[in-house]
Amino acid sequence: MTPEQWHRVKEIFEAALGHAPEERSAFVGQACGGDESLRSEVKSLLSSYEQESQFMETPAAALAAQSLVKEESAALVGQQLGHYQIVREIGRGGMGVVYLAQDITLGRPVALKLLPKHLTSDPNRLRRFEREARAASALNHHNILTIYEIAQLDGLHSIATEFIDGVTLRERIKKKDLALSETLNIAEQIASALVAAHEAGIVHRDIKPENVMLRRDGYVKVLDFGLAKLTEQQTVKRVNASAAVAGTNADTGIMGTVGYMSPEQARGESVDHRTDIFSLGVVIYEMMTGHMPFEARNAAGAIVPIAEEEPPPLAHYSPEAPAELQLIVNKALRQNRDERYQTATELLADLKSVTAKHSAKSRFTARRLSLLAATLAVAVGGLFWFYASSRTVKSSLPPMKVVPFTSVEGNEFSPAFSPDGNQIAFAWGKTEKGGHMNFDIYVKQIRGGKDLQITSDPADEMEPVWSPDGQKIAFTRLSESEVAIFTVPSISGAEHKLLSFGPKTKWNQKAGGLSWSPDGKFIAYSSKVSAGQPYQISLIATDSLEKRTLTSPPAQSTGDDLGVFSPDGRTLAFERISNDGVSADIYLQPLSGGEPKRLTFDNVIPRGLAWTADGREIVFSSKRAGPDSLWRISASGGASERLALGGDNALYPSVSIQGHRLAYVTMKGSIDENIYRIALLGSSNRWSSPTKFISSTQRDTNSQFSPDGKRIAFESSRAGNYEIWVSDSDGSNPVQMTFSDRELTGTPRWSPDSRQIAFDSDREHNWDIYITSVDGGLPRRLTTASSDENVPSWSRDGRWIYFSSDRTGKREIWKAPADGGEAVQVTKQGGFLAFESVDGKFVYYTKDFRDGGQFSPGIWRTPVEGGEETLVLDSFNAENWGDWALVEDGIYFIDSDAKGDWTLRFFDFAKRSATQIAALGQDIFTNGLAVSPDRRQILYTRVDLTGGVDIMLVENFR
Amino acid sequence: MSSSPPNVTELLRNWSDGDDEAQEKLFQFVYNDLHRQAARYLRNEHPGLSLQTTDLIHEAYLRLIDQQHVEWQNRLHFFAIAAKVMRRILVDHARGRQAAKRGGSDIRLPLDEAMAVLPEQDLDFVALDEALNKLAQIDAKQSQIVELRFFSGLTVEETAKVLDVSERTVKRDWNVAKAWLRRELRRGGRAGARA
Repeated sequence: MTPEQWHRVKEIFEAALGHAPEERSAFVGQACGGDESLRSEVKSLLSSYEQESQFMETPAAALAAQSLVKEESAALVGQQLGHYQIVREIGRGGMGVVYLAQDITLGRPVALKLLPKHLTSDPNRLRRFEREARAASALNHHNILTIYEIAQLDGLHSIATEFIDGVTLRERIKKKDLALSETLNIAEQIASALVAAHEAGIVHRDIKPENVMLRRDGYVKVLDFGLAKLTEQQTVKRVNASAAVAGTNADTGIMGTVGYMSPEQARGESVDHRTDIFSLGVVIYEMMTGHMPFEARNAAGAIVPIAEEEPPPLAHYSPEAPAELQLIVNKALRQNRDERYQTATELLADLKSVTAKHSAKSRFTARRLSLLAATLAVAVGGLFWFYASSRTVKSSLPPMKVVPFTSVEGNEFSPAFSPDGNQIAFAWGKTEKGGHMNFDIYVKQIRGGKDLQITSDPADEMEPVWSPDGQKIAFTRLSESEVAIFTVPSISGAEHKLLSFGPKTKWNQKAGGLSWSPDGKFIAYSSKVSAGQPYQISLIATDSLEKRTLTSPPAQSTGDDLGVFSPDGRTLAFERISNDGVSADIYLQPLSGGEPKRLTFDNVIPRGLAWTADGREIVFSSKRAGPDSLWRISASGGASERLALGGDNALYPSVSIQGHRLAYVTMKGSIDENIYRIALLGSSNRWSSPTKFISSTQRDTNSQFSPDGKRIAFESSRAGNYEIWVSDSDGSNPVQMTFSDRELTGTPRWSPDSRQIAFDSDREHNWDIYITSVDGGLPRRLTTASSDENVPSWSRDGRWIYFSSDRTGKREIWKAPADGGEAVQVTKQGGFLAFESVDGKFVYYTKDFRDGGQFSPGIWRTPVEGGEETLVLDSFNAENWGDWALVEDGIYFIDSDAKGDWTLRFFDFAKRSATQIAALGQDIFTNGLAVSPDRRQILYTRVDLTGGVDIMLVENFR
Repeated sequence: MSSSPPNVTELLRNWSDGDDEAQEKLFQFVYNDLHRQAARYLRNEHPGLSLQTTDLIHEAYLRLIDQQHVEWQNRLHFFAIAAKVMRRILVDHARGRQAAKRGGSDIRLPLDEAMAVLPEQDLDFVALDEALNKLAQIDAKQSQIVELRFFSGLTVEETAKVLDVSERTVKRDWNVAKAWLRRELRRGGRAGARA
């Protein structure tokens, strides 16, 4: 480009800036005449200018300063400040730098915020801040960050708080994919925090996305209550001095604060709790639109707050924004605080009403619902409407609302509405002694009242359906001796066997898919006539017991199931499952005969289907687009449409005949590993029955007592990933010891002095052994080979770490010096999990897979210095490689008995035989058996599948 | 390095008289001073993030220059030097950091993580430096305007005085330069985010 051309570019560019953005293109076109290269250059520059008007607006030195300060803070990493070991920086802002640190005395991770000196140099302000922060530290609410300590550490003012594993709301907003339901959920949780704080008389003063953390488990935590006191005066001064050019907070270089301030706060007036309501309004607006409500660009392109004007409606940026939310935002953002929501409680109630209406749109919400359901069930034990009446929402139709119908222990399945639509029959599986789950039929009133137990047989009763007159309930009963369909009075009473399919066999596993015809004359069911035949749907006449086969599935298919009569009784909708048992579609079979019509073409098995009351549509659950969700499709065909209900976890829908109610099943956390404990009773030789010892809704496993008996290390996914946690010996005070962004860290093993823990982890994308100090600090990587190394354990003198490695191409046990150094191979014929004998002379170990893919059974041993291996315990099923523990005179282990039940046994080295300690039934176990040093307690991990399935009820369904 | 500090005032005067060596010496001297001063400024006494470039440079100026013997024109020259110095400091710093990143040492890792959590990504000074060199080839005056505005933190008015051009020209060139640089940085595939 010649200097002349460039000059021309600049002139046109400058002139174009004098025009409104939407007119610039036309202007440039005109100004450039026919010069296409000139035109495209100016346009490209204009577009660059418009995209990033803040570019280079902050002088370079301020940016440089940030860099230098960052390096400064990096220097603190690894250092000890007071009783905190700094692990790494996790965030920064105008209020200082935040580090992940380990509290050495209490052995827990904390977020340690070091306040910058310029904020703490004024003693008066500091005192005021401390008073405020101490008041805030008394707040105890699950949406408020817990403050542990406010202290001066080596001259630096600091605040130690709970460590949150998650991201800030600012980061979340930047991703620009916040769904409505997630926005509502976050807003509700912030509002909930405000309710608690305001009740305690604490105003936050600085609600903004930087001060909201989103934990991985869905919890939202509001940070820094009361801390705004520190910056308050400064901020006000700045706003007054430069209201026109603010927008970017000069102290922090971070967008914010000014834009979230209430008008009274920006004017430097005294504020009350209603300033937080305004700020939350701004945050909601931003979550919905990605924009601040009060923003505009001045001539220089800087963003300036224009608080006097009405913000653009949410729909301007976000067309799907519900009108109710607009009303809520409007009310929160009123300039005059007397016109705003007067309490956070009111705001919260209105948010909840919007949520109730839009609850189906995300899994996030569904999870909240079930959480809420559980809480409410505990509190009251009855049916509860968490739907809060709305004052601001105006709508001609009552909103759909989702409420938990059952939220009790056990699994509740197969909801079926009574003909009057006011009761639901369902199958309720409860865990009985020995771990077996037994299903019985119950009836429960929608308006509350006691559950009515209809069946109590030790066999499982499933799939209740009502007779159209509401007098009877039909169900299937499944036991080893018989598979059969029964009827029973709906108020319970004498059962009547309608049809038997004979004993349960390999091929005759079930009969089911019951549906009672609207005229009451037939019950449809699905069954298998003989081995090798597909399931077929048949009808049985309830009076004559005459049977006829209705559907004829292809011979090679799994068959037809889940037949449901249409409300007019003319059509039976059912699913036809192909031979793989996974692909299926919905078909409609005319009762008058003929070929069924295929309705869906998903090749995905529907998990439950139901007709709408008008018979025009079918509601079904399917994984056709991701997780199990509810869909509707016209009975005359067409495209399936997702229901705005139930989120990503809704199965087996049922619709009431009146059509205004829908029930579905939600399954939450189907696998929950918990650590159980049995203990010796008094001075006797008897063991207690198992009790849940360390548990969370996530997976807790692989526990180990420290040799001094004071603590327990275990592996838990409660923070998202599997990481190592340490609790007191009674299971209390769990503290996360390791932090990584990888999925798997585990198998903690204590050093003999109880001061270090060896573990395995794929944190650096390769399985390796690490050692961490219980007192904090970063873990040390022990193995560095590119092969897989895992399941460590210590030699009794603490000098070696045994582990398994596949570096020879075959999994063998190796050992490496605990201080680092060359690893030495220990086993030659396979080895996986090793423990050294108490006298330090032998290594006991299990083996890995054999060539055939099966685990090699048995526990073996070999001398520490090398030599022949010997089979010690031949019966041990090494698939449960972690379910054994070595003590001086024997081995505790979990194994199955002849009947297939699990037992905890002790193998005595001297007697060379095993005795039973406890029968564990048919529970499912995962690895991890721990024996306390005094051998009075044993911990093991059990998989609890219970409590996972609940029935949800939708009111005002349409 | 000589043990006694050079006379900055004299160096400035010599430079005005066309002594290129004086410019180089001046640069070195101001560089050392600013770097030391910035570090002290940032680490000990002030909140790092509110540092004003002009404060820093004014302070350096006051300390280094024998004020009674310097003319206005020299003062402006000083700012021009200071802008180049700031640019050098920042670019060197960024280079060092990039090198450290490539080295990937464990000690550096927390710093990278810290940068990752910063709400705004740093401006890529190295890329900016390269782009600015390119701009200087098209329009030298314009690249000087950028140096003074961005690296020295001068106002439009001050910049206009230093370069002896109209304020309007400064405004125009500044806007065009920003757009041009932004585009260059983006084309270079580097993330030159809002600064």
